[in-house]
Parts: sequence; C-alpha cells; structure tokens
Amino acid sequence: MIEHLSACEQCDLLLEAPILNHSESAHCPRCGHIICQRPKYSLQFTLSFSIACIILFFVANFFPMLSVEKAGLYNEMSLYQAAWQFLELGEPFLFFLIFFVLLLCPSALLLALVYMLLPMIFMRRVMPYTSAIGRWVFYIKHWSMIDVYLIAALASLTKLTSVANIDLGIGLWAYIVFTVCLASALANLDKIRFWRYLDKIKCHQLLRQQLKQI
Amino acid sequence: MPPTIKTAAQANLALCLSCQKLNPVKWSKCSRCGEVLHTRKINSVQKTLAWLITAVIFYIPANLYPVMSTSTLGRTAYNTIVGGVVELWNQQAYFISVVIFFASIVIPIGKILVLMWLCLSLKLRIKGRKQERMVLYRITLWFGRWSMIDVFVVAILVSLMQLGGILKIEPGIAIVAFAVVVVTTMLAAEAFDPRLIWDQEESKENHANTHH
Ligand SMILES: [Zn+2]
Ligand SMILES: [Zn+2]
Repeated sequence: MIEHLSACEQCDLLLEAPILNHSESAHCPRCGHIICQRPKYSLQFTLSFSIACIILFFVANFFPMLSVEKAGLYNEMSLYQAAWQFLELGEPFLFFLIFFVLLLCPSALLLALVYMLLPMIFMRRVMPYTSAIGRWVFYIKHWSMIDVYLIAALASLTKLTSVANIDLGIGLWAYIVFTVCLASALANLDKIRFWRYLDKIKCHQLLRQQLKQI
Repeated sequence: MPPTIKTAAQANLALCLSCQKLNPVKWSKCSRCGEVLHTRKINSVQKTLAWLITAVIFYIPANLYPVMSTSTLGRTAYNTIVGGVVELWNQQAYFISVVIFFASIVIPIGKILVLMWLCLSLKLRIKGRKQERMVLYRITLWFGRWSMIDVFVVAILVSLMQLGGILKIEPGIAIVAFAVVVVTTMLAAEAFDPRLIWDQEESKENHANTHH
C-alpha cells in the first residue's frame, strides 16, 4: 500500500503517487508545490545535454572569455581565472567559494550524471554507488551558479565597454551555449522520475541475474 | 485510510527528502537511497535563526567597508556597495546599477526579513496566511543564489582589470563579508522546514475535533 502513496515535500500532505503523461506536472492540492514533473523528453535528453556540456566546459576554460586592451596594455580571462585571480591576490575564501560554485559543482554534477545515466540507458546496468551519488546530485544542484555568472558577466560588460576596449572571445560564446545546455539538462531531471527509473533498471538487472542462474 | 489522517507524519510515515520515498517512521534510513530519515528537519527553526544572525552580523561590514579598490595612474578609489550603485547610476550605467542594487541590497535584506518572519510566525503559532507564507518561502529559496551576482561582478573586474599602472582593480574586505552573507542566507533557507507552517493547522483541527 505504501508504494502507491507519496507525500508533498513542502507541506507533508499524504497523496496518491501521481502517474503522469508527457509534459504534465502534478501540483499539491494544499500548498501548490510541484510534486512531480514529466517533461516532454526523457532522461536520454539529460544525458546528451550533459555530454555536450562537458565539451563546452573545456572550451570555456581553455579559451579566453573576455579580453581587455587599454593604452597598449592587454589582459584576458577565461572561466577558471575568475576564481584563480582571488588566490593570487590572497583571498582563499573567495577563491574556494567561486571555485566551488562555478567549477567544482557543475563539473561534478555533469560527470555524476554521465556516470549514472550512460550505463542505465544503454546497458540497463546500475553502476556502483549510484544511490549515494544520485542523492548528492539533487543536493548540490542549486549550488551550481552557472546561470548567475552569465548574468553577472553580461551586466559587467555593459559597463566595461565604456572604460576600455573589450573583446568577446570564443570562451564566452561557448559559455553561453554551456549555460543553455546545462539548464536544459537539469530541467529534464525530475527527482521522482529519476528514482523511479533507477528502481526499474534495478529490477531489470535482478531479473537478468536470475535468468542467468537458471 | 481514516479521514483524520492528512499528512505523512500522522500516518507514521516519513518522506525521504532526497528520493521522495515514504518510509515507516521507525526506520532510520531510507530503504531506497539510504538517506537518514526524519519526519521534520531537526532543529529547523534554531538552525535557520543561527544562520540568519550570522548573515546580519556579516552584512554590516559588507556595507561599511569597500568592496573593491580601483587604481588608475597612481590614484586609488575605494567603492562600497551603496557607493558603487550610486556611482554607476550617475555614470548612466543603469542596467548594472539596478542589477547590483537588487543583488546586494534588495535580495539579501528581503531574504533575511522573510525568513525571520517565517521563524517568528512559527514561534507565535500563527495559523493564518499559510499560502502567502509559502509563496514568500519559495521566492527566498529561488532568488537566494542570485545575490552571488555581486561577488561575480567583482571577480570578473578583478581578474580582467589587471593592466599594470594604468588600471588595476583589487578586492576589498567587504566582498568577503558579502559572500558570507550570501552563503549563510542560502543555508538558512535550506535549514527551514516549510512543513512546520502546515503543522500548525493540524494541531488546531485536532483541537477543534476534540471539542465537538
Ligand atoms: Zn503540499
Ligand atoms: Zn530516499
């Protein structure tokens, strides 16, 4: 009986576990919280966007995002330098914070998604530690601040262009696409759907093992 | 299911916040994902208030000291948050001025006030306006991370504007304090358990039932 029940995360109302069609979402009748969403696309969508993100992440880190030129002096920055510069100027706390929200969180998130979803989707296999990693992915999801940094970069650009000659590099374009891809990957990742899918794959795996023994 | 049971807690079930599976209350760990189970977040109000007080303490130096220093040709200017917003506005950089105004003043103060009010309303056992309090809670949860814009703008300026003697921008002590404010207010919002708002109603209804 417990299998058919669910509860609202934000008000604890006991509910029938929702079963949804594509593009539907279930709201809590008491507090209005979105209980579960089933986007148009499957988890394969999340996986493909995650892989695209990893490639774009490298481009944004190795190519300059912005470069500045004034009176013959030139300087450029790529993504990781936003954090690195703070370490050089003796601000370890800011370095760690920016490193965490801009580099560590997004890259760990993406690697974790590929590690879990790739074998699940293509080999119907659950990799070791998937439950622990899955749990932790949903916790750090909103500590990745890729979208916030993009708005900050665009806002500072509007000012910087009046102070010096600013050039936009390949890194910035890669970063913009990266932000869109990451948002698409995460928008398709619903908590309830992910764990149900994991249960399904675990069942498949168990059945296969039992068939082998016969 | 008896009609008096409305919530998972009343049915002796605990919802796993990490995978949304219902487990019997007596289990200490979620049967699906292994997360430690609690019917409500432990010491939610105390933790939220502790983070908020830390945020308020750090918000004072964040406003009093300079967030960055700009050196141009041997002359050094210091900017505080409010000073920066006013200066950018006067220089007709309206967009960035408004963005920083929201990120560093409106969002943190609003967030601290809303969460304090939510904690207070629980202490005072206020039963009305649940829907409105939920909306406020969701807004703080969603907007919290956008305060980091301020820290990022300084990070971009500091790493880009290193042009020797012509133009050099360095971070000030206030941006460290402000970063602490952003992190602590985010942790405060995470520590808060909105289910406590709805628990108030249950006790009222039970009370009413016993009187009938
Ligand atoms: Zn609800
Ligand atoms: Zn769980």
